[in-house]
Amino acid sequence: MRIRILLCSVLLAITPTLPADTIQGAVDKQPLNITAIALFFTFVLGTLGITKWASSRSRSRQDFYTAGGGIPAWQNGVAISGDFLSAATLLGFTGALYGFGFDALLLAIGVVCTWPIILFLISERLRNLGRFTFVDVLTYRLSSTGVRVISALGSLSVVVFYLIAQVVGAGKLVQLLFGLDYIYAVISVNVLMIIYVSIGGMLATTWVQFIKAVLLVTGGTIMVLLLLAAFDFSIDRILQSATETHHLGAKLLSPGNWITDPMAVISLALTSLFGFIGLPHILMRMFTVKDAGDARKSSFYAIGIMCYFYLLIILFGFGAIYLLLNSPEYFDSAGNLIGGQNMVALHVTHILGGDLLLGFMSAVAFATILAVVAGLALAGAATVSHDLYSSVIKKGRSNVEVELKITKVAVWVLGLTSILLAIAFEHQNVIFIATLSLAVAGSVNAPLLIAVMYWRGLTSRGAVWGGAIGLASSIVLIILGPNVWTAVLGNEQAIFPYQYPTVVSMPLAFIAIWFFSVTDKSAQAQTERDAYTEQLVRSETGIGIAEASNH
Amino acid sequence: MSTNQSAQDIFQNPRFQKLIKRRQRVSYLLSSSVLVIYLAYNLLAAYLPDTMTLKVGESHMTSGVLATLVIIVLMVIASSIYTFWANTRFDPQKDRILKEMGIYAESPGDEQ
Repeated sequence: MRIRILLCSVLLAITPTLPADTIQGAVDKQPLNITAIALFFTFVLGTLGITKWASSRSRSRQDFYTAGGGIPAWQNGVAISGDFLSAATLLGFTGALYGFGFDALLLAIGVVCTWPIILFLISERLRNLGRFTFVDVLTYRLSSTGVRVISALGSLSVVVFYLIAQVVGAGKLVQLLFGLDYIYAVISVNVLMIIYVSIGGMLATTWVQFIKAVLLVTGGTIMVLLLLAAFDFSIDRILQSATETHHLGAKLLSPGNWITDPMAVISLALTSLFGFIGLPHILMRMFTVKDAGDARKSSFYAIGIMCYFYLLIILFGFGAIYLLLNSPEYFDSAGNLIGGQNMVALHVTHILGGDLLLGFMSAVAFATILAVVAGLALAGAATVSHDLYSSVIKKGRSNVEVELKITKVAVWVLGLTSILLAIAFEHQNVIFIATLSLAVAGSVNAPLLIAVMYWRGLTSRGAVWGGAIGLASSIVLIILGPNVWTAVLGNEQAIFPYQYPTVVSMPLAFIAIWFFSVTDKSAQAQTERDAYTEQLVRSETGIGIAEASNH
Repeated sequence: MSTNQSAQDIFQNPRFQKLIKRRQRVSYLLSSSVLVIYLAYNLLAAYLPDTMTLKVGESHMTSGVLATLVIIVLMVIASSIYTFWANTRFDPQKDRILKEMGIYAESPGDEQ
């Protein structure tokens, strides 16, 4: 069985952006890695302890969804950066840099440039307008049920697709890292996710992400220091050795080795920008701090950590080329890298730090998946219970205790569904699922969020049509595109040429939002436009927002 | 206080207007600078790839790799400027204006 390998780290990714057709290598189950498993169990035990502690502090709905708004800004910032510094950042990014050089840097710039935009334009307004989910922000002045339904659908699609991609990726990664079977990995990831979220709520979920981020950044720093020492702390020598040993030579540092079509570069850039703005589990983290000022500081800390980590792994990725190409023991008899490109970072960790550091980083890589799926499950469950059950079905008249019960049931349902789907998709090429997730985030959630915050003219009708058209066009174009039409359905030529539909579906969503809003002459539309004034005052001042609880 | 009427009052207050205009100038200016850098980087990489492979001095550094590293640092600087400005200028000014209007911005209370 050959499984495309760079693929799986991509699926673990916040940046599921690597084209499938350039992926090589196979997942071979590795021998049991005892250090990694022992360290991973330590992490699990520690986080379960935290979950127990968190459960004693999660009583109300606020506590459960947003840790009562009592998370300190710096801690939230670390957790946000943790959501972005996933296994893919570590494994997929270094693998891509090792394989294709410069083009991998486009992925880094996508993350690094989107976050300042979120800081300047989104995070503070989001905190001032919402309570638990980003759907709250949309329905602050757009009162129709349709808006809640379409934005909840956008949110849920992102969460569910993302979750499946992560879990499938996790199963494959664990075969590589720990030598355990796919099925055990899938079940254990989901069971732990259910425990963290249903018992510990947002407080536990944030702590899990926080601890993992600290471990990842610490491990990354140690690795890069060891690597820099091997090159006498000279960046020039790292680049020189990389271009001299890599088969691409000097071309390693030029664009176009991987993403050859210029339009594909632009499409990727737009998908990163809008997709990252529309991720519900990240947006939800903004509600866990006490006010807009802390949401701003959270974003700022997150940016600092992410930028630091990207600088590290860019150096690491270029340095890895020389170290690895001069270590024949990591290649099989046919000259292929053992475990494929995904293993670049871990092989180099082994070269630099031996079995212990390898075990540590493998455990951190798996912990990363757990932390990310927990955040996803919480965001999905909150959407089901708060946005759909309580607001749409019960019209806001539901009992808070029943709503919380529904949340916990939703976590179980999400976990069990994702186990079943992960088993069903084990041998499928699931890159389209990861693509779909980011495309929907960029073509439904982000346009709606930007429009409601910055455009007085938006009405319910515009939001419903815009959201629906963004959703439908993303799905249709992905089916017609290379990830499904050729990779899954086996056709010769894709009808839509690009991986990501965002370059078309996102503008379509904005046009529909505009058109169906300006042509909306109803009385309700006028009320909604007038309500922009009040919304603006609140988004700037935070007057009347849900207050924080002290932890 | 969250009634429509008092929101209108705050909105129409010239000092509040001035405050949010100033804030929007800062956040729009910074956002558009980031967007310009982001788009320029991607457009150059896509359509003029040769601009990314210029040698920097005598070293093995190229313009593309250097630009990437510089952009990462620039983003940290831009975010620091904004956060510092909002923490030390915008927030106190906003609180002062609201206070003068007899409105208190939310404080981390212990409502449970």
